[in-house]
Amino acid sequence: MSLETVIVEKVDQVGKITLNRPEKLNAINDAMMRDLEAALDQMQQDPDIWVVVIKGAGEAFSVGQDLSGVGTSEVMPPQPRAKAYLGDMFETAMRNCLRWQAIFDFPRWTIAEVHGYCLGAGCDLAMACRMVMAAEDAVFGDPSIRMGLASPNPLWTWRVGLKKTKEMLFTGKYIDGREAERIGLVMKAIPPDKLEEETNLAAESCAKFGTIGGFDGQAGFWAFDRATYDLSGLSAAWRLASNLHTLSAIQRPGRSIIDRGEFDFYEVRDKRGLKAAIEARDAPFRKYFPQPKTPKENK
Amino acid sequence: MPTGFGWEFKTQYQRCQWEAMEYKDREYAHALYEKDGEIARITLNRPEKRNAFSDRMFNDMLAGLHQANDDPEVRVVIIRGAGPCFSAGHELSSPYQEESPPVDPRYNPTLVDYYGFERRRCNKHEDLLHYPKPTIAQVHGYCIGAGEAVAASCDLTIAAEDSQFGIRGFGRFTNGIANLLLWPAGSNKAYAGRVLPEVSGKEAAQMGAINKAVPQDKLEEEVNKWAEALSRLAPEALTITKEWINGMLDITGAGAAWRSHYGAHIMLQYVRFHPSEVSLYKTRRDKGLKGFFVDRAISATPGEKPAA
Amino acid sequence: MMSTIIYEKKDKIGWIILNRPEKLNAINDCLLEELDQALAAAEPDLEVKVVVIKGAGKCFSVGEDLTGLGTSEVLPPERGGRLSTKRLLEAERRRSRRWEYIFNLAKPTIAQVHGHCLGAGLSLAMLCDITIASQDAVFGDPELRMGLLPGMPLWLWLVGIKKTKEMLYSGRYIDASEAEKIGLINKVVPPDKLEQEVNRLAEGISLMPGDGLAICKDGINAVMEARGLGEAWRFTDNMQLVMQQRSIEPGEFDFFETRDKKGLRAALEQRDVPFTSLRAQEEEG
Repeated sequence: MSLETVIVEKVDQVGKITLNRPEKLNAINDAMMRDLEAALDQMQQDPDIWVVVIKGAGEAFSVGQDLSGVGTSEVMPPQPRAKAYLGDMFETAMRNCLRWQAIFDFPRWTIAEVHGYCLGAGCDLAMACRMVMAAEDAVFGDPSIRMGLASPNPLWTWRVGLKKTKEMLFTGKYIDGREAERIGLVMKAIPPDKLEEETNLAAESCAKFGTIGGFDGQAGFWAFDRATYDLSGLSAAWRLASNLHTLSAIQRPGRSIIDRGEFDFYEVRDKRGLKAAIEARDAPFRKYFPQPKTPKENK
Repeated sequence: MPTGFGWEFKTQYQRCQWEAMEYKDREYAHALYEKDGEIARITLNRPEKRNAFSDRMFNDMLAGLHQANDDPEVRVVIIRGAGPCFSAGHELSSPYQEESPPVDPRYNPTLVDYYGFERRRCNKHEDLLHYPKPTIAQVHGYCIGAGEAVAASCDLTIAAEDSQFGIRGFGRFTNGIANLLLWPAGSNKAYAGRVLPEVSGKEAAQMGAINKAVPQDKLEEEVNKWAEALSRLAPEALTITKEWINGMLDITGAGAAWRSHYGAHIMLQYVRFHPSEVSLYKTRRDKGLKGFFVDRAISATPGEKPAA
Repeated sequence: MMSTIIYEKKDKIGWIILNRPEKLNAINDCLLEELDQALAAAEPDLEVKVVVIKGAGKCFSVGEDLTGLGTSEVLPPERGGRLSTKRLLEAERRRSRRWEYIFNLAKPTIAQVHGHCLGAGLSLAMLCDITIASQDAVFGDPELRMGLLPGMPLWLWLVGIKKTKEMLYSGRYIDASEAEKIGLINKVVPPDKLEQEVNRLAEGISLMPGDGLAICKDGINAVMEARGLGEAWRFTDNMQLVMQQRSIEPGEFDFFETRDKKGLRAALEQRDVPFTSLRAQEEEG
């Protein structure tokens, strides 16, 4: 099976999935979502793969959803000016809710190896893995609120707690790998030149597995862990988060947030291009929430 | 048709286990009970076995809890370990009739046997969690497996900075986020506890998994300070507050999550080891239990291979 | 005219100032009533994007007004009173519903904390979405020492089971950096930077679309509800009743009786002195 937007490899008992749209900073579009699912499926079919590492080609892990508006009808909600029916929006949202849960449910160890930008859906992907290893200068955040959207990802409070969740999602601010480790978003922040080596070590360690039941026991443990997440409310939380994300995306012409004078990302994008739109989205906030420098900017 | 165990084996778990444990005229041996004014101390007392839990040690500990609860003067209970550590976990080489070792497959247990057996094992910790008086775990040295579960089920856990929770090759039986020791600290840390299970007392305090870590020579003093402070509070007010907090923990799902705990225990009885792995059954047969642990720890360390 | 709360609207930010500085912003019925009014003004106002709560004078708030004057909504009724279980339950429901309402306000809330932030004052700060404190802030909830149930479920979700039991059993006070470490607050800043930091945060958030903020907050609170917070409020009401109806042991320290006999200051001393070994000021290892 050939996949366009991800590269699939296997090294001993470790499967590697590399998001591969480096020219777009691995922005996630419909094709990449499908390829990612196919890759995970493929790895699950191979009983020799005990750990899967997900990482990004090029300069970033992933900047999140592809905001170009092209080939993104599954991963992005329709823009406010589209006359979308509720039915279509909720059906897509419910499907996405299950798709993301399936990634979270993947029954082997998953490790996100993060360098560069890890934003929005990219950050969601990292959180859906069981462990996140990040470069110290990786950049994490979810700027959805700056476009008026609520995040469909309920995992924030499980990873970083209620206070930090609200701080991150109300401001849409970006933090570096070290801060991410401090607040619990990331398991370990590593010097960038050691990231690959340490992730490989962690993957090997998982493959050898620290608990007494061996690899067999590991699958059983995950089944019970998954139940425990649900017992603490994750399933309901996922559906609620997905529904409220959809509500935030529903806008009716004439009474939308744009009509109320809020920032219109799509108009700026259509007039001046995607890059300008992203800059217009983020620039007003830099004086309030200073952005950590990206590795590229640091050089 | 009875199996190697049959129903007369100690499967009944309907009673609160410390409440059902007799203490009158008891000769405390594997765990000791001392009363010091308003503070009772239960000392796990098999230092030559690193305080591994035999049935007798569990029973002595439970009896001590019962005695402390019945004594209206006692306001706080401290659980600690004699000798080099708090506890290394279940005694795995106890006679097969005991509850501490895993059920030996030779005796042909059925799933029904496992249910009774594992629920009883796991209920001990739940019963300790719901104990009506405040409890403090005083931890030094190793705190592994059942020892960790006991420490987690106490209200406060105060440890020496260089104590060690968990051990390489063993991990944690309670799962990622139901693990009381790590609840509800961020789940990244909880999974760290699966992969690299050794966590020092100092790290555990930083994670919020335990209350405090102090230099080992200050441990007793620190625990006594807390016990004295708690003993000044109105006992019923404290019981009600504890009931409230534990109740909320149940509401967050931890109550039902105990099913994940004993479910995972039962699941573990059926694991099959892959040819590339160190097998509990084969290695125990060839090298003994100690040999199994050595090989297991080595195999869980990247870049190493156990001796043939 | 409000006397114990000042409400000001400035540049899309609603400022709610606890205004009993001569009483260290101790919370009484009047303050709660006026807080209700201020929130009722701020919530539907489309010109207000963010609400900030802070304290006038030396501190945020020392918590419930323990004098017992005008505190029927704040403290449980005196022991030996004639109120039925039904009335007690209704009173608890009212109290906790107010807290729930503040938690679920349809606008982001920021608590700006300096000085003491104790008891019901701490509850208020915890219910705000984001809490920023100055280095001199002190946090704690000594209610159990007075035979009161601390009654704020959010503790468990914010700091975990171990820290919840430690803080609420001991009633000890901690400093701002420890509060940040355990997850109680978001950030600590030098005292002279507090105002600036909160202004910056509030202004930044006020630039987001109001609808987006409302749904974003509701989404996160919905997750907390799915995690059991909703049930926890009701359970807390019930346990409040159990606490209020418990038997007092002979010889047990009775805060309110001591206050009536020897005055509030003596009662506070007797409450706190035995626990000085657990104070924030002592050197931690």
